[in-house]
Amino acid sequence: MAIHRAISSVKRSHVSRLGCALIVAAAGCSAFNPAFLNLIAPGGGDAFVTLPNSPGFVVLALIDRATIDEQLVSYLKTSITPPLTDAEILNLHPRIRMRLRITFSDGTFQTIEMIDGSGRFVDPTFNAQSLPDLNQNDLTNVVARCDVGSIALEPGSNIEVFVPVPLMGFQLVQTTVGNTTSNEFQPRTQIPPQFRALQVDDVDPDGNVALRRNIDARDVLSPTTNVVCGSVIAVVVDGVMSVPFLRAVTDVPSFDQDDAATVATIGGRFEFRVSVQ
Amino acid sequence: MRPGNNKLGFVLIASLSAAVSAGGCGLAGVFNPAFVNTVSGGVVPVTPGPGANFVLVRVVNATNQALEFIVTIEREVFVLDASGNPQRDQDGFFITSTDRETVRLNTSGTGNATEMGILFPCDVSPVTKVGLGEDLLPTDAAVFVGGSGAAGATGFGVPAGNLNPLDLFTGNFNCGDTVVFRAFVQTGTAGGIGIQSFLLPGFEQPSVFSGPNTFVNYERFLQTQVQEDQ
Repeated sequence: MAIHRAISSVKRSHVSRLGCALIVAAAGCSAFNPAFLNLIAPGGGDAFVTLPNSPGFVVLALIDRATIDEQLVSYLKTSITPPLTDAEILNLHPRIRMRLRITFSDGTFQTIEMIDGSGRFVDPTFNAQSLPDLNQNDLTNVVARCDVGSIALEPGSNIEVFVPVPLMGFQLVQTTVGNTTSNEFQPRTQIPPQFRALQVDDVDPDGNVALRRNIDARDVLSPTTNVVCGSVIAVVVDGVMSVPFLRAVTDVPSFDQDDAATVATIGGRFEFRVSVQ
Repeated sequence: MRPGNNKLGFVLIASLSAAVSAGGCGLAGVFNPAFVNTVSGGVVPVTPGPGANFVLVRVVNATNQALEFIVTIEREVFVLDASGNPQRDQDGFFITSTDRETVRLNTSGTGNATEMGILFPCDVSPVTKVGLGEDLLPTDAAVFVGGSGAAGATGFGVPAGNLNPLDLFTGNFNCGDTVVFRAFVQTGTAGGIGIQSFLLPGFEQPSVFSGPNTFVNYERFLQTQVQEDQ
């Protein structure tokens, strides 16, 4: 295996090193990057190959600080094998996935999928193999070469949270037998564990919240433009992941599918903050 | 590089030296900071260095087609008890296990999007191996050509071949260094793509920067997040 060096190399000849040093010293500056010197005056040696340095980097990070609703933790913590320890439960975070587009100043762009959070927190009755995208790419930071023009959510994509349990959808059905009318919930749908797109609250023309969903209109992910080379852009997620429980009917995660307010909040409540360092 | 290039190199160095002398070594005031940083450093860091406990893995795509690099690291992690404290063996030594992490980095065929990188923290749990391919084996697909493999795009994997994983204990890299994997067009190889690894030692870069101290800032930011969590 040949491990090449991007900066100085012991394979560099002493003569070449001395020559470069003299020239640099003559210029009154000792700050020439050795990689640059190596690139233009490698000093011989077939195995000696160098790469030019990057002009600098921008670090893009996803920091998941959201928590999981205690009802859901209680429902799952004993059924996961091996059982979650107290320490693991304290460090549980919902699995959040988002696609971000890094647009460079030369017009090219790269879309990256970032995921953070606990990947083991899944209802064991569902085969994890059926969820290939759950643990595929634990990407919580990327380092992009300068110059970065902007960083924003990929157009047309959503921020998603992984709902780790199946959800039972019930419907209230009125039954009349003779003179007796009764109302009871009937199971109608089952939603398997899956990533669920987080929705922004519906607001009326006056800006009032008409239907509370997963993200307040003021807490959406804001794009970052004119990124300074060398800066750190962190997307910080706060909030609580939760699923509804229709306790009057069952102890498993469930909801009344005609209850728009409950359906809209499935997944929990989150806020997104972009920190530029 | 051909020996003939040395002459050109020295002419270039001499010219630049003259420019630097004329400017009193104030390169930043004369040239584009990005160029200055590439040539002389000191504007922003290009490797974590001794001040930041990360290993930076940088992938460079020089093939003019979209590539997915499959980067894998190994690290020694403490085995924790139910309370989250490190377990010790009967002799009092901490019990550790080897943990493997794989990430996929997509790169485009042109422009700045041909490069991407990822930082692996190495303070508490040192990174012991860095390589390409999910299992760090020579037969593993090290890069996937033609799109993102997991999405089922039509493409093919290129094996790691003799690009063995870099090992901490044999001195291939250290915490603070940058490991670079570069894919380039090479005839006569599987997939027509060759792969090289490079090392940028962290201790060789300047310790003072005129711009943001990227990796130190990131480490401090992560520490504040942990403190807020607690």
